[in-house]
Amino acid sequence: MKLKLLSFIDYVGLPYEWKFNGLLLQDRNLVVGKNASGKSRILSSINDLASLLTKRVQLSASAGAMSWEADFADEKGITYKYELKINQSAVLSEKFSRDGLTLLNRPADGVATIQTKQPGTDATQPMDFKIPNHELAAVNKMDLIQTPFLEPLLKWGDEVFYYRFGTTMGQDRYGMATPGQVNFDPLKHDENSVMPKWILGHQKYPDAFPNALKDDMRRLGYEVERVNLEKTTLLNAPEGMMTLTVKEKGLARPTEQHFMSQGMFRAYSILVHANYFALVRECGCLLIDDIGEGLDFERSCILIDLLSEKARAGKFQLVMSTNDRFIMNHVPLKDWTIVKRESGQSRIYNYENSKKHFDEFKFTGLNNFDFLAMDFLNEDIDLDDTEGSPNEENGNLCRGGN
Amino acid sequence: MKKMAIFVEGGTELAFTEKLLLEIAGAKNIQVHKEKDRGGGKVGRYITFIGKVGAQQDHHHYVLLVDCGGDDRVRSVIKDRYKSLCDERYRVIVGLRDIRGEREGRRMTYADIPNMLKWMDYGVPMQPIRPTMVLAVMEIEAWFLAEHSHFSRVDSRLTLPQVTQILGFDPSTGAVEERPEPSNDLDTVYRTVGKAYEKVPASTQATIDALDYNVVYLGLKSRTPNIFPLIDAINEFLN
Repeated sequence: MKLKLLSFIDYVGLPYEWKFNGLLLQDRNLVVGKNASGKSRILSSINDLASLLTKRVQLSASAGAMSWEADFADEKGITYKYELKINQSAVLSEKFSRDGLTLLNRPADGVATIQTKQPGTDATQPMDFKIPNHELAAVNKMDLIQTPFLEPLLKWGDEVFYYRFGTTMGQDRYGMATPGQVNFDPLKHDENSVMPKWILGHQKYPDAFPNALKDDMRRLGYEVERVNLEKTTLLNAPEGMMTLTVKEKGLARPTEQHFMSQGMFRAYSILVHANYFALVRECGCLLIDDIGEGLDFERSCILIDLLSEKARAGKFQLVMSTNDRFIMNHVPLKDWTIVKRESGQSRIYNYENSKKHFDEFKFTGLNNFDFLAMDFLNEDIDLDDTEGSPNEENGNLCRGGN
Repeated sequence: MKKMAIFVEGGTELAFTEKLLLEIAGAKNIQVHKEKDRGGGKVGRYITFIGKVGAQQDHHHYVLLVDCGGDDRVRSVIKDRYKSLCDERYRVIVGLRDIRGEREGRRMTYADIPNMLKWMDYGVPMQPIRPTMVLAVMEIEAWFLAEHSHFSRVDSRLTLPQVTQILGFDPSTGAVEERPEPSNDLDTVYRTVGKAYEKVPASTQATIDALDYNVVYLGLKSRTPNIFPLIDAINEFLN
């Protein structure tokens, strides 16, 4: 299933409360906004929810008060809604419904109830329960026989992957090999787990995976002949330490991961993950913050195209953020989510809620970046098409005669 | 020295404008500095020098001619570079783009022109220099089509009656700006004599070189009136 709509509040009830409402998500999404508008927090709020549902993070006293309201839909058109409120290490309330029918309700005060399936029938009956308040009921009460309706939610959580493209993306992570096998713990959700993903991809798809990587790197303009995993030649490296390598045409030897440029490695790393997901179909939602950071403009755009293709092949949702104008110019406005910071909240604008402005902008002759930079959403676009033009001097087409 | 900056959407527009400038001003009197403007993201703006034509010294008129790499970049590039143009004492700024092309997955049409005109000044500073925006309708090749004598210079078999018969349209009298795809019209005609009009420099340059610029300068006003803001801006600059 896919996340369709999300609202989120951080620091609930505090003077510095921050929230966003109505984040509408489609298959491909580019979250854009000026610095500090909340783009990264939007992506991390999705990852936080997924992480809680899969116990990748635990509620702790250091956590603030947060609230999520998430709407999902699966391929059959079944809709799901999950609401969660937490405060530090405690769950305040939790609710899960399917097609409008409440199946789990854990109110802030009172007894929690869950619908449980009766053995041998499709009938359900409510069951009261009480669990420790630092645990999510959606996780704690999951049972494939009694509460199978929770499975899609937890599966969604498990299939959300979050990468911050502006970080090292695993360039400084190596692994040790023993003869005959490579012993890595595949840190499934670790954004730096590029090497484990590479190994798994190579083991499962010995031809398709490396070939896809080679093809993609070539499309990015790197003349790659071979991708591999080899012993590093890094000074002072322990015996058997492995590095990812890329052999480019014209270079005498492969380039080890630490010698690749930062931009090249980030691109390679995200392509390792994306190709892996496209092949193994273990990803439902790929979150990439600051996509293209460190890459030149042409490669950024090709990378967006490649990731979009992988997302289509792997049937996963792609949510990217950027404030790079060239990337914005490359992605159609219909895929945009614009984030504008207004005191304690980030307002969300997209084609659905601002259709007139999105449609009108194409007539300005400006590139997409200017939609954001010039705050076109604030323009009065209800102008008379024949009179009242904002352009008095240039506003007439020169008419000729024969 | 007087300075003018012209921003165009692509290579064809650049080659045509260069030729037009040299023909109107005379190659000894003007220097045209050509560049490509690309990028503009976090990694910065890529400005590539393409070449310098016309007078190499003792000229009083200097034109910066910029290929912006797309119709939706022309006005944005002017906006981005406006302040530095003013600081560098440019006197005239012109933008040239066409209508054809896709935007947001939709092909722009003749019917979109009123909406495009409505926003023609939007977002670009108007003081101290008011940029002149030139809209080639539907594309610059309409001007080439209107200068129909060039066909016979491309190939002597392409007489006006022959071209009229091929197109089912007389380019000497017909409304060339209402032709939806003038570049396809050129290609259709050229292909009857084993040639082609393609959006590659060698092909477009051959047509641009075959044009009669006396006709372009003096004779197209009634037929392709949207070229005149460009010619007027050049004249104003040269005077």
